[in-house]
Amino acid sequence: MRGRGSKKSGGKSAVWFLVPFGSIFLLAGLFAFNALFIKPLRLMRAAQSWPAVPAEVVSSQVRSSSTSDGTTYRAEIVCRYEVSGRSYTGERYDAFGVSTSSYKKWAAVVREYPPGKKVTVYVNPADPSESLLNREGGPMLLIGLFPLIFVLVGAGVMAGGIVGTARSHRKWKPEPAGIADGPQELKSTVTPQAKAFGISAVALFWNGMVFGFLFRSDAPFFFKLIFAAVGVLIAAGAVHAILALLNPRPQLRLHTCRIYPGSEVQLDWTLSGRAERLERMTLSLQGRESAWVTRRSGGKSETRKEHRLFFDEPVYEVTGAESLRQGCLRFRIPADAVPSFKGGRFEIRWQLKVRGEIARWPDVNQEFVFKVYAPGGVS
Amino acid sequence: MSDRLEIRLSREPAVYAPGETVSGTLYWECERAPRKIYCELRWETEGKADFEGHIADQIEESAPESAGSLSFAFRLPHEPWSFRGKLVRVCWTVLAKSGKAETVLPLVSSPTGAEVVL
Repeated sequence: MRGRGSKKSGGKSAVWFLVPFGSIFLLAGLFAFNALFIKPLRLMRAAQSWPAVPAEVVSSQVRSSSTSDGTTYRAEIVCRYEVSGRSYTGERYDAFGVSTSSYKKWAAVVREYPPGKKVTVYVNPADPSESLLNREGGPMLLIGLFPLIFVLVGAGVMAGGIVGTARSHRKWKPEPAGIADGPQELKSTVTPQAKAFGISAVALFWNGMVFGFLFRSDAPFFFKLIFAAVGVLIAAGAVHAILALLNPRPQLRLHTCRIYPGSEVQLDWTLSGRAERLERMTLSLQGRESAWVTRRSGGKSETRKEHRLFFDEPVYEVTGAESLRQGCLRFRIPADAVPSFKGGRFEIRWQLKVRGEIARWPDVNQEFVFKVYAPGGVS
Repeated sequence: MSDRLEIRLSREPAVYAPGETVSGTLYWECERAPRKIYCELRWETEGKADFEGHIADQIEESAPESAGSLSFAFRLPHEPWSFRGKLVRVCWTVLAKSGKAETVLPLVSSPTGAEVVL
């Protein structure tokens, strides 16, 4: 006999850990989003209707503040103006009031507003002590969107913890019995179109952020270089996936849906498109286990899906353009093959992997999943 | 005296084919009569994968005597089999619980006569 307390609590602890952890991210993200985007945006919008008042720059300097993370700078420009005969001084340059790591940027602002310069400030009619020298947003407003990443990550971690725990403790019911017999067309797990679209979308988003925004910021050069290198790699992946759209497409058809451990299975395959470009094609029978794995180190937790092939054997190999249009083969599912199974946090799946080699071109690489049933489990 | 629970299966070793019936008897001896006592057939995951546990079948007895026995017969579902992979291991067990006392008896559900190693 063995104890099980620790295991049982393992599932529950995920929710106790992930929900508070995610909520910290969520709240911090919402707080930063409010401070860096919502508040400045509201102030900017309000300032659009504030009256313009002539003013004079009294002092202008770059202020620095140092912390363990480094030194940040901001422009401190003090302007004097009059409203209804009363004199006021305003110190706010823009709606953001944030410090950044760039000295150059703020030095340029200070140079633009030397002491004694006649300027225009925008004054809050309800509170004349409140004024803005610059009521435009520009790229600073985009910085305010960054905390949304924390909001999304926090919400995702919380949802993952709640849904995952609910799934792992739900009352389990076996799959209903009964499967139709007859041939089955296998579907590719990820179509080349979906792959190309997905990678292209990621490449556009990443490179749009990096080259359209990061490179205009004052981030260190090394930091920019790393992000740019990742962007180039993703773009190369997108080009690779787009070129693969021109590849011949395999279609697989099994003669039966009733596949059990030990079954002999008959498969018809065809290749559409320019099959003559293929130099070699292999079909492999693969068994794969996948599981959601949560790793905790320090105060951090990371959950990711891991995959491992426990069975991978070629069942067919063909070379030469003549025989690469269509064919038929038989293969056997191992007698001790664990049937396909999908739990809440793991999956056992069987698939046929098609690999096609094309000289100086992206290869054909597609997986087709089928189900191996438990004997007696279905009829 | 602490509460005592014991599960005895009718088969030794506890290796079953999926679809077979797991039968046995649960014995208990408690200081005071428990509010309820239950016995369940369940499967759980072990290994690197996040924990997942499911009850396949369960019986319970409300307001039992302080000592007694309860026979059970659970039919094993055809899936999942008992297997051990690098990421996940599926373990079948019979679990009995009464108050804070708990006991677990592992068993194997596999047509090969042993836990399948992936």
